[in-house]
Amino acid sequence: MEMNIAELKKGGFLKQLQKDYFAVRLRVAGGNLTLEQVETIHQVAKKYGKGYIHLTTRQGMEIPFIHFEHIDAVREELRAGGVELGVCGGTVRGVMACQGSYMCPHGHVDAKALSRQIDEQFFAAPVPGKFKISVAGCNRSCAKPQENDLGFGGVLRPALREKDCISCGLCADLCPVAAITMQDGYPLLSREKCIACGECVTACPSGAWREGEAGVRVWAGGRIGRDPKLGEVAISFMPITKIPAAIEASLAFFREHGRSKERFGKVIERIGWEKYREAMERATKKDA
Amino acid sequence: MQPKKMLDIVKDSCPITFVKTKLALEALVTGDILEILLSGGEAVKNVPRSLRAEGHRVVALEKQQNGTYRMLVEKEGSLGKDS
Ligand code: SF4
Ligand code: SF4
Ligand code: SF4
Repeated sequence: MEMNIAELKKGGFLKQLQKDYFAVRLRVAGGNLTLEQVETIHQVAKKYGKGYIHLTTRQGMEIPFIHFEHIDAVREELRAGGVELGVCGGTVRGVMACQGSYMCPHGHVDAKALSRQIDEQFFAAPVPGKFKISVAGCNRSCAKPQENDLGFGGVLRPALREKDCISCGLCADLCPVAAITMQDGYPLLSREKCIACGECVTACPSGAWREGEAGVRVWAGGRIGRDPKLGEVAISFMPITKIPAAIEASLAFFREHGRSKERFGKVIERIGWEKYREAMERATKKDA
Repeated sequence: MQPKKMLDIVKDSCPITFVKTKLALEALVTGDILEILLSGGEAVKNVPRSLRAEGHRVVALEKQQNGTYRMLVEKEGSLGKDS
């Protein structure tokens, strides 16, 4: 039996305890699968698997109990039905997303669409260790951006159209950091205090608070694993158009400084947050 | 601005708050005012905003002594829309 385990692993086949059996990891972007893909997965699992599917903790999917003899057939049949294989090892993994502004009333950015774009551009890119990315629509962080090597969360800088204000004071009541005070019946915003969570815009009953500028906050170095740690803010506000540049810069930093199988956060801690933030700054400040 | 009707949803939670408000507004005609009593927290964060999103106009919203809110909504009110 000739098998290159490393090659199989890269291609999304995870060796099981059970002799000659593999779990097949599938490529899922932003936690969405089309019905056509679900149908394909169903058929393949029924034909070659053991009657069930495994859902991973990161919106991924795996078909367990694929015999090594069926590996090529499984790959081909999945592909023909629009399903690609996932990856393992030192690569950019499946990109997670919450519902975001497409569906969720709290969303400031379209997390699903962004995760698809990130997946298209960076999925399976080689790096020293695993690299996980997640996108959340707002700072409620349902897609857990802080648990990923790189995480993005929608943020919103508010702008006021005073003539629409009905002086209810709700924004001042709800602001989590007391950045708004009511002055002569109208809200007064402290830009220094404001964390761009967008709650005031979401809740304002008259539409007086509206979108000034939407963007994302970037967290880096988050991980679970053996040495769990939440990511730290690398950039507190950035336009969404800068996301590819931020990822590019992070992967380059990882490739330059990372040791084999090291987690990204460890690399940053070893080399220094200052250096990493500088690299991010340089990459994302260029032009508009 | 005389309310046509009063609705108390202080004890309700999402999504019952929306359903009751929607039904109450359906029974009114354009321009009528509905008075709503609602609780602080999630209800006041969500109900006024979603009424606005559905094309109604929140005319007034006041916090009461006991922490609940009193709101006046004009059915399909045209003022305050994007202009
Ligand atoms: S993170 Fe925000 S936008 Fe995303 S699902 Fe949660 S509340 Fe909605
Ligand atoms: S929530 Fe809106 S309407 Fe109420 S005080 Fe603030 S800006 Fe004015
Ligand atoms: S965006 Fe958030 S932090 Fe800033 S003023 Fe509005 S509620 Fe407060």
